[in-house]
Amino acid sequence: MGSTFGSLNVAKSGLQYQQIAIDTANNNISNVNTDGYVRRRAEAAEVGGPGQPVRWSFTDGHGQGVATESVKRLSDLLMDKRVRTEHGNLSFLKVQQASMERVEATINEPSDKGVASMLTAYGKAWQDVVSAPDGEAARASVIAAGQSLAASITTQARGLGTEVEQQQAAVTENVKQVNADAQKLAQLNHNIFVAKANGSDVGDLEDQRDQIALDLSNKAGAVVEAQPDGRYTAYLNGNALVPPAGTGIGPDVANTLVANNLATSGDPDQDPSTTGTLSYSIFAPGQDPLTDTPAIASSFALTSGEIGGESVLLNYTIKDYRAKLNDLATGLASVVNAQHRAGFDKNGTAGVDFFSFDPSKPGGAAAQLTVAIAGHPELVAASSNTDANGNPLPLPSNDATNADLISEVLLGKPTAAVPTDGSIGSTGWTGWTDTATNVHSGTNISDMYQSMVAGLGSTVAGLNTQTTNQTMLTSQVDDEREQTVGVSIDEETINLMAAQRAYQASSRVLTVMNEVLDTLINRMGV
Amino acid sequence: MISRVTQHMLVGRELSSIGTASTRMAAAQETMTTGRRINRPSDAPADTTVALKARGAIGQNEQYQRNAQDGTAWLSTIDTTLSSTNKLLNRAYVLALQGADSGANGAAAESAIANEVDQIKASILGLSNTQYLGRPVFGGTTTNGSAYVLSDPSDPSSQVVYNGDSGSVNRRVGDGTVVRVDMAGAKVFGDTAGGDSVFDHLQALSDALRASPVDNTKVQTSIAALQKDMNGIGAAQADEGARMKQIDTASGISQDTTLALQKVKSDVEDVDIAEATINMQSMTAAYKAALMAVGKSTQQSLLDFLR
Repeated sequence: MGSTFGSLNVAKSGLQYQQIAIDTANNNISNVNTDGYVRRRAEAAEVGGPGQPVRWSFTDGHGQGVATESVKRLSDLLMDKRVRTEHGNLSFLKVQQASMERVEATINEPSDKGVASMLTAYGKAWQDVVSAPDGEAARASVIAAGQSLAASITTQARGLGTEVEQQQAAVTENVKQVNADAQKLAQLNHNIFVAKANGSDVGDLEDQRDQIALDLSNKAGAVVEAQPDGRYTAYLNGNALVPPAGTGIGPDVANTLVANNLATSGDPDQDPSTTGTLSYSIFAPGQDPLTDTPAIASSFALTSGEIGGESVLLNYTIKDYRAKLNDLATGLASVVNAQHRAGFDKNGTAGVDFFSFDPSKPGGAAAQLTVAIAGHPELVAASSNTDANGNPLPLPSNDATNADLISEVLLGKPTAAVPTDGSIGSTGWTGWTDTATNVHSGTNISDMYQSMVAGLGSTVAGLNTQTTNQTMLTSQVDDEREQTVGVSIDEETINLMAAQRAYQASSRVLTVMNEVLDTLINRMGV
Repeated sequence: MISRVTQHMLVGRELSSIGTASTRMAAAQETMTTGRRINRPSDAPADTTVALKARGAIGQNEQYQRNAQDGTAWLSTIDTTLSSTNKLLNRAYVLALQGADSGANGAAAESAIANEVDQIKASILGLSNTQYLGRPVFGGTTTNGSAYVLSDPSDPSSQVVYNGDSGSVNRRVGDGTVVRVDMAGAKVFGDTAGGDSVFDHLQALSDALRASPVDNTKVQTSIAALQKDMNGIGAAQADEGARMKQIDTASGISQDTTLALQKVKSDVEDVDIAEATINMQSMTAAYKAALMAVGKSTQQSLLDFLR
C-alpha cells in the first residue's frame, strides 16, 4: 500500500471507469436501431506505478488504478469502403431495373392489345378489303385498324418519353443531392478535424459523415476514402468532388458536379438519333458552370450509383429502344405507303400515303404516326390497274390485288416491298441493325417488332438477375459490417452487468478502505 | 462465418426474408390468377418471341379461314349457275334437234320452238349476270354491276356484249396459296366480241328456225355450236370443282395449323395449373415460415433470462 489515501483514489478511478462503461453500454442500447450508428466501447487502460520510485516516495510500485483511455468507435474503414462500393453498384442496377420494368409494362406484350396484335389485326383488315373492296365497311375497317396500330405505337413512344422525362428529373435531383452531400462532407471533415484537435468526442460527427459518404456512393457511385489526417475525400470516376485538404483549392471545400446535355439527352421532343449524350463535369468553387470551363474535370461518364444508372438509361437503353421504335414506325409507314401509292382507290385515282408523320415534330415518327386518310374510306387504294396477265384494267375496279400485297407485307411474307437489307431506298427508311450482332434482325415489320420485344425482355431479365445477385452481395457485405459495428443487446446486457458488478466491487473497496481508515484513525492510539 | 449477431442484423435479415418470401408469393399468385406463364417479356424473353409469332400466325390462319369461306361461297354460286346454264343449253339443244326435223313441224310449231329458244337466251343472259354480294361472278373485277348486256336494251335479239373486265377475284387461303374464286365469262359463255358466244349461237338458232322455210344448214351449225358450248361449260365446272377442292384442302391445312399453333401458344404462354398450385402452396408455406421465424426470434433476448 502506498500513501494513506492512495487506495481511495484507485477505487475512485475504478468507479469512474465503470460509470463510463455503463454509460457507453447505455448509449449503445439506446441507439440499437439508429441507422448509421457505430457501436462504442470504453477502452480501459491500467494506470501503472512510477517505474522508478523517487526517494522517500510512498509508492510501492503497484498499479494506481484504471483510466478511460478513450471511448472507441468500432468502425472498420476498409469494410465501410467495401459497403459503399457495393451499395453504389446496387443503386446503379436498381434504378435501371425499376425504369425498365415500367417500360416493359408500357409495352404490354404479349397481349391482345399490344403492337404485335395490332399489326396482325391491321393485316387481317387488309385481307377483308380483298374480300369486299366494293363496300365502305371493309375500307372503313382497315382505316380503323390502321388507327389502332398507330395509336399502339404512339402510346409506346409517349410512355418512353415520359420515362425519359422522369429519369431526367431524377438526374437533376440527384446532382443537387450529391452537391449538397459534398458540401456537408467537407464541412464535417473540418468539424471533425477541429474537434479532434480539441480532444472532444467526434463519434456522432463520424457517424454522420459515414452516412453522407454512403449516400454519395448510392447517388453517384462516389469513391470515398479516409485520408491520414482523418478527412474523407470523394472521387467521381477519378475526379475530385471533395479533394484532400491542402491540395489545389485549399482545405475543406467541395467542388460542384454538373450534368452536361441533360435537357437533350434522350429528349422525347427530339428524334432519338439526334439527342445529346449525358456526361458530367466538375467545377471548382467560385466557378460559374454556365460560362466557365470546368477546372477539375469535364465531360466524364458516371458508371455507378443512381446517376450512373440513369445515365445508362438515357444514353443507351431507353434511347436504343426509342430509336428502334422510331425505325419501326418509319419502316411501317414507308412500306405501307409505297405499296399504297402503287394502288388505286375506289374512284380509280392513284393511291396516296396511308400513314403520315412529321419526323421533325416532337418524338419523331413513332410518337407522330397517324393515318393520313382517316375518315376517307374511298381513298383506300385496294386495286391494281393491271390484271394478272399484266393487261390494263379499267378503273375504277373492284380488283383488290394491291390490298392483298399490303397485307402480305404485314402478315409475315416479305415481298419485294421489303428488301432484305432493310432499306427501302428513296423513302428514306434505313432499317435498324441489331447492335449485338450487327445483323438486320427482321425480315418484316412483325419480325422486327418481335426481336425488339425479345431484346427488351432479355435486358429486363438480365437486370433482374443482376439486381438479385447484387442485392445478395450487398446484404452479405452489410452483414459483415454489421458484425463489427452493430449493437448486440445481449452483449451490451452482459457488459452492463459486468460494469455493474465491477462498480459494486469498487464501492466495496471504498467501504473496506473506510473501515481500515476508521481503525487507523479512530481506534489506534486512543 | 458469423462472429457477432446483432439485433440490427437480425431485423434486417428478417425484413429481407419476409420481403423475398412475399415477392415470390406475389409472383406465384400472379401466375395463378392470370393463368399465364409470360406476363411480361422478361418472364421468358425467348418464349415471348415464340408467343408473339404464334399469335401472329394464328391471326393469319384465322384470316385464311375467313377467306376460304368467302371463296367457297363465290365458287358455290358459280357452280349453281353453271348447272342451271347447262340445263338450259341442253333444252336448247333438244329444241334445235326438234326444229331441224322440218318435215314434221308446221310453221307455227317452228315459231313456237324459236320463241322458247329466245326465252332460253334471255334466261342464260340473266344467269350470266349472277351476282355474289352485289358483284357479278362472271364479270371480273368490274364495278358495273353486270357481266353481259344487250347492245340495244330494247331489242332482245340484239348482240350481247361483255360488260366486265379482265380482272380476277382472288382469295388468299394459305401461306402462298392464292385461289381464283370468280370465273372468266368468256370461258363459260364464249367470245362475245368475236360473235362466237352462247348468245350468238342461240340467236342464230332462233333466226334459222324463224326463217321460212327453216334454214336447216344453219340449224345444224347451231346444233354443233351448242354441243361445243355444253362441253365448254363442262370444262368450266371441272375447273371450278378443282378450285373448290384446292380451297378445301388449304382450309383444312390452315385449320390444322391453327390448332397446332394454339397448342404452341398455350405451351409457352399458359401455366400448368397443377404446377402453379403446388408452387403457390410452397411459396405460401415459405412466407408463413418466414413470419414465424420473425415471431420467435425477435421475442427473445438475454433480458428474458436475467432477474
